[in-house]
Amino acid sequence: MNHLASKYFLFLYLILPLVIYFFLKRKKASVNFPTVRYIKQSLGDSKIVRYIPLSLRVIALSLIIFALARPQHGRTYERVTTKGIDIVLVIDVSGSMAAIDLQPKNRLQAAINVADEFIRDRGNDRIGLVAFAKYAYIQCPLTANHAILLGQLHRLHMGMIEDGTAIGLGLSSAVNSLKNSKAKSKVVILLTDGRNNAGEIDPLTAGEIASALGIKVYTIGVGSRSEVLFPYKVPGLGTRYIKMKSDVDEKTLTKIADETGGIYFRADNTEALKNIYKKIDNMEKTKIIVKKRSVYKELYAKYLILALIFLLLEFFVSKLIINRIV
Amino acid sequence: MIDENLVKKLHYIEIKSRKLVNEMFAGEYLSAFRGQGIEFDQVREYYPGDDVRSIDWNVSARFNKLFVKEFQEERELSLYLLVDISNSQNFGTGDKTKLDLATELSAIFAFSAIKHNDKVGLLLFSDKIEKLIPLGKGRRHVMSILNTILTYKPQSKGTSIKNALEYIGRLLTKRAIIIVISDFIDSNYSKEVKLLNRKHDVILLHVYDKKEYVPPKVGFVTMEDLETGEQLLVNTNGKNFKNYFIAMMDNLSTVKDKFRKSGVDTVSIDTSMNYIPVLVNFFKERIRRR
Repeated sequence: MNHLASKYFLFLYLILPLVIYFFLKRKKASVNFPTVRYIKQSLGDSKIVRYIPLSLRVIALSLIIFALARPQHGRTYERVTTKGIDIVLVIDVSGSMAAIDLQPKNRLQAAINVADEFIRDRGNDRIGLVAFAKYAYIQCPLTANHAILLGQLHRLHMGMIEDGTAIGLGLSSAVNSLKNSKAKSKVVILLTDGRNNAGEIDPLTAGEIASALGIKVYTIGVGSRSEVLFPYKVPGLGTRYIKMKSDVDEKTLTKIADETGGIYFRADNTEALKNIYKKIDNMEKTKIIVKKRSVYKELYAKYLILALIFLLLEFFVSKLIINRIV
Repeated sequence: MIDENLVKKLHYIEIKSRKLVNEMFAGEYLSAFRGQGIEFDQVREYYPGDDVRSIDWNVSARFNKLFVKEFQEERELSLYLLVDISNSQNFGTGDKTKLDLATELSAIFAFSAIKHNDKVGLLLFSDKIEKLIPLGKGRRHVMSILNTILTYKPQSKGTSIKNALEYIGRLLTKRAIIIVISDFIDSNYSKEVKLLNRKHDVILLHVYDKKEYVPPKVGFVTMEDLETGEQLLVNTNGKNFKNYFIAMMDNLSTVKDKFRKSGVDTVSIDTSMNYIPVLVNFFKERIRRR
């Protein structure tokens, strides 16, 4: 990105015509000779040679003015103070996430896709990833290396953990990985589609811990409110679907969110899920301290050197080739 | 205030030119301009006391009475110096400018004239008639002429030889010798010269500087015209430039030839050369052609 730091100096170009006028009008140092008018009549004026010094001088002057305007080549670095916020995404990988009410494929895939987008949007934050079903595992600790994080995210699949829904464990794992964080704002985004039915920690207790550590928990309940289709495999017959009502423990999720200063969202379709992440993204954005620092390389030297070359050339032409008697 | 330098210069010119006049050009001037010196006037009857040597025997025999020839000194001549004081005359690459040379030449002619009791006048011209000093005699008159040439500040820079010739033609009623001292950097004056030469004796004294005709090769130079102030950037090493001056020299000799054929004498004198032999030569040539 190139720009001019003191672009008002460019107004000096306005006086350039005056300078040219002055140079043209000014009588040049010359040798007196009696018959010049007759020579002029028969030889004519060698205009090209005559204007070379002037042109060189004008070019040099233009370059100097341009150098005065301080042309810079700069890069704006946005991430200089990496004091963004720390976010841990907690994603439910229990069997119920296979419901196809959210597209593409199923709830889990939709959640992964949306989380992917979310991570890419938050380039300045450290983000971690926790997956849970019957147990909870930290898939990726808080990191600024989003490439690895995204890799881990896409490795999530159903069946990687024994079936069950240990919301309390998931949340507490997230809280655990955030507890040493020195970020100003610590956020957990908890995504689930069921009710706590495993693990030794009650979701509410985990919520209290989070609240005590100053961690904000956004909770997202996934699943359509009507009956949804779950796939199941029948040996020899392929995949069949069964109608089931999804059961999100909205009460507990709301309570956790309220207690920690977060918000509970209900996502009954893909679009809604996307919007929720966007909303969280926006809400947390205000607290990010993004310091922009621009590092510029001054380019004026190039122009000045060029101007100098032209001036030297002018000097050569006018003093050595065109003899001026001064 | 009298400028001491000027006085010195005047004296120097006076002494130098008077010496030249007395030693070198004494005879030449007379023969070149005056001819015999004494001219026949009339024949009258002899009165006792007349010199017997003056008796014209042919006439006396025819009339059977004694007659004597009477002679008269040739009438005095008028010499007009037309000196160009246009700005181009202030050019000189040696010790002298063309105007300095013109002044010295004027002095020689003026002193020669008064030595033989002739009258001298001066007309200074540029493209205008700048100053006229009528015919007069005596050393003081010559000194005032020289003083005028040395000190006069011309009002105009240009050159018009034509104007000056027309003016002098109207002014002079009697036959005179008109010496035009100029660098002749001008055009359209030959008709007037020839016209004036019918009644008068016109001599063109061309003063020039060598560098005017053979300028030094110094690459690109901005030149300024002394009279018009025009500036011109020229390549003095260029072929065109060189050719121009060759053509100029050719032109000069054709112009001189033309004048010679129509009976106008021309002399070219370089500011850096010793002009005495040139003048002597010129006078001799004139006498020989008579």
